[in-house]
Amino acid sequence: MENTLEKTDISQRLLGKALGQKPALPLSENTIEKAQSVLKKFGIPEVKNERYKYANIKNILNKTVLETEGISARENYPIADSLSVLNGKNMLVTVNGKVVKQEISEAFHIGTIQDYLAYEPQISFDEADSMQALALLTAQDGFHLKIGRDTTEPLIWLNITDTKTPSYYATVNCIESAAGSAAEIIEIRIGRNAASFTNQYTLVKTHEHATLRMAATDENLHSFSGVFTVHGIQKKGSTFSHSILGTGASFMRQNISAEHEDENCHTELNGFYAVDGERHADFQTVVKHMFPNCTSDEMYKGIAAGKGKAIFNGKVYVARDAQKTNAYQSNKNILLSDEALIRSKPELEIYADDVKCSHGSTTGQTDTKSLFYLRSRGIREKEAQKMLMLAFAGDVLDRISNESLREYFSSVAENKLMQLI
Amino acid sequence: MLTIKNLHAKIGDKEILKGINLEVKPGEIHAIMGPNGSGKSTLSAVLAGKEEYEVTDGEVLFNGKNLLDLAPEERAGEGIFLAFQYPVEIPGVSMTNFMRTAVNEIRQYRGQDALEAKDFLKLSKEKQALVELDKKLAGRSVNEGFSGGEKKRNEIYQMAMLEPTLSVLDETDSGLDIDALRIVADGVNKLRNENNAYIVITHYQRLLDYIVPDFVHVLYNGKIVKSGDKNLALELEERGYDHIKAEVTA
Repeated sequence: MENTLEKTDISQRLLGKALGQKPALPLSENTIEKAQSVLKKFGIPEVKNERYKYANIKNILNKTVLETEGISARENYPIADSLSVLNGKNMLVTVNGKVVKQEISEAFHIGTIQDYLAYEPQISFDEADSMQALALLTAQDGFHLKIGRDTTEPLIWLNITDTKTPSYYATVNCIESAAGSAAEIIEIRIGRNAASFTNQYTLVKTHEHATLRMAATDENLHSFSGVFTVHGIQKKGSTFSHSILGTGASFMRQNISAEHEDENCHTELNGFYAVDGERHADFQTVVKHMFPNCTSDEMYKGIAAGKGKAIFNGKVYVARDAQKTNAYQSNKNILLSDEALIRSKPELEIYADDVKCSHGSTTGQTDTKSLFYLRSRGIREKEAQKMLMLAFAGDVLDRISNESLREYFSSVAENKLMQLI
Repeated sequence: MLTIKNLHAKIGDKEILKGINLEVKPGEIHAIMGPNGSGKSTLSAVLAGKEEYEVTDGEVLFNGKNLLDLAPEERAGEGIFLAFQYPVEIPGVSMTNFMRTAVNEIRQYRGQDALEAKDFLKLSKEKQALVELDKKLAGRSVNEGFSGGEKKRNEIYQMAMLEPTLSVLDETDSGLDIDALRIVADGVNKLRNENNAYIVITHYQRLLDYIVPDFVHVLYNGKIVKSGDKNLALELEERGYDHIKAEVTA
């Protein structure tokens, strides 16, 4: 009985903590005020909140979480052997947002988010999103990663959630790519012990002519939930890309936004998701074209089976001055069962008159003609289905440039698809 | 090899095959001709196992097995091959991956070991040469961006790779120019032997100048209404189908 009471109160307790206590992070007074007013206005998102219409965070927190802070189940965290394919690369390990291990080349520098905020206490966030405000107000830890010019191998970030009891925890990170640098970061989200809820906010700054490619997988999150937000700020001539593989978490909301602060920026956002059982994967993207001669390219593709739910809501905004913008957005889905659900909402908001923008969304079933063609050549139905699904996912996976990581992501996707069909 | 007895099939509520009888023996080539809508493509689809068609009566025996009980992939394993009238484009599935999977699935069905990569490539090259298929196409997705002629030659290449005992060529001549037609027909003639058989479905006699049939059947309104030797095809070319329709309705 006592437990049930605690459970129903968790979102209330979290709200009380965020609004009533001094944040652990050294935010500026102004930022704290802003975050608190956003949180007061929107509360912890539930169905009434347009932005989180299909992602009832309040409900999920109340149903799954007992504590408002993540206490790690153990001191030392061994790196999982199953991820040995990634050996030899730069490695960053965080547990509940705290850096516990780093094996990185000199091109990378890792500090704490506290140090970053001491320098730049006015951290920007989306003032229409109360989860970001909540992350800033409740985070205990986070890192500041600086990427220099001479990176060769990608950085693998093992982003581990490991809690004794089902908990909510927040983390705030900042990743900065130095001017002219080029790097790739792979975030592997891992859940251990009690199923918890992560609220993660990552600010990404790509300076002049930097290229930063990020990819993330939630395959190892299993029964865990979370809201993961990446906000990219791009300087002149920079390229920022983000690829997400949503195949594991029981509930995942991925927010990605990119804002161009100068000309000749390129943004590329990709996602492949496969939801089965009662899993929920939810993607919200915003690309803000504020300056001329920038491009963006978005491709999200997914498969829903069982009672799985997948949501894509992508918005491309083109400001009046952002002439010669070239923006492309596509969302394609396959439904494998009667009870699976896809919601797709591509949006364009264009104020400039000399731009090329397109968007498209399709949702359908496996192509029976292709399936019959393959089977008529002796390929068993399951194998044929797998080939077609992998081909479907391939468009997205092919965009991961590092070969061994592409293979790793492809094998994760392939294993998932085998479970679905 | 193949015995079709009183085969009836429908799609939706529409009955298309209304009692087909046909016997095909090893080494034979049977041509099936007939006007549009007579059921030629339905017959090929039913033999290959396309699920949209429902067999309502009759039976099809293939080397003593009830073909209608088998899934499309099992039929392929047993030795049936359908060259599609409209080969499907499958973006994202490479020709090489597709063919290697197909060859090895069929070998597995027949109790043979999988082909080593180098043996597969050797075989593939040999069969590509047979139908003068551009090597570049092997690197592309299945049929994607292939010209009409390339798609048809690709069908014959697949047939050569899978070594079926009974091949059904569904209007393989449609959309082919005279040179491509000759290449396709030469391919079939080279693959032909005393152990395999062909059912060649066509509108026109033209293809039969190159692939000479042992039997010609006229399919009309879901039934084989006339059978003969290759001269029947010539007669049809000359006189059209109208006199046969008249004979049937008379």
